[in-house]
Amino acid sequence: MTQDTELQYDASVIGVEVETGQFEVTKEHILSYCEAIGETNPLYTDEEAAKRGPYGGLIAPPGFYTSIRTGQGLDPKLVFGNTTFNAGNRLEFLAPIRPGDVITARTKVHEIYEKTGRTGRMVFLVRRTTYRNQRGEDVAIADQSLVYRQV
Amino acid sequence: MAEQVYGDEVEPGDEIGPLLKHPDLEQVRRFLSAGRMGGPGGMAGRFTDEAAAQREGLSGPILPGPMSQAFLSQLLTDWAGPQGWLRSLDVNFRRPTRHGEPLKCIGLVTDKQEEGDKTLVKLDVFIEDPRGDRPTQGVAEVLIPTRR
Repeated sequence: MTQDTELQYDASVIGVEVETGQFEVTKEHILSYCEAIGETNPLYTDEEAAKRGPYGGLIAPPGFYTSIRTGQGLDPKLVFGNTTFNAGNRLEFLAPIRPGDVITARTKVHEIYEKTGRTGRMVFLVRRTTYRNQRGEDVAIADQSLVYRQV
Repeated sequence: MAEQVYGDEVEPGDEIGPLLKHPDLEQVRRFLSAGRMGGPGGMAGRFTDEAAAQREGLSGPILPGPMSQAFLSQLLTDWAGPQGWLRSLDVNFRRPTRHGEPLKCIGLVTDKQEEGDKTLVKLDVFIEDPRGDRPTQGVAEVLIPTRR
């Protein structure tokens, strides 16, 4: 365990990637995601129009990967504060996600660091998840940054 | 399909949007359901329940971060047109966003450069609430076609 005053975590898991989920994408799931966010772009919502578009068929909107439920990966056993929030996400979109794709997610703890802001000390845990389709193409890479705080 | 924007039509300083959103509790519930975030082990309480949110030090239920992110993605893909591609989006959830308020999603072009047969456009993006605060903001890169 790394210990820095009250900050404790297991540094041995940093950088160790594990499979955190596999998911088959359906047209219905894409459409329900689009309905939930008020998405109207025909590339994502209108099968006939999408067939005439650049992808030759329906694709998922960029944010769709967040509806692929994955596990969290290895637990760094970070102990700090009494609440956590999603501080931010950094996303790279590499290729379209299509109905019928089978997406496999692999996740690692990318980094853990601390900062002192207006509201005091905060610790950030960044997990990096790579989403790969059944053809072995990476379709998206997402860094999710969780902040641990005392409120 | 929406109209296509081309690289020569875009200049730093251009504003895109606003995309207007007014998410309510029902829409948040639909999002959590579509996003499978509401099941066991999910964190739906702070997003849908007044008391659960207050126990976490919030003034009331808040929008899930991925929902704010989805609104900014929509702003960008609407603008980029059918031949455009949102390459990256880096968003910070600086402050909680409450439901039931009108939100404006806005982008500002900061740079553009040629990349092969495309134009890479860089933008600042943010969501503005009715008080003029920007609880979510970030940067994005969008590839659009270059007219030949």
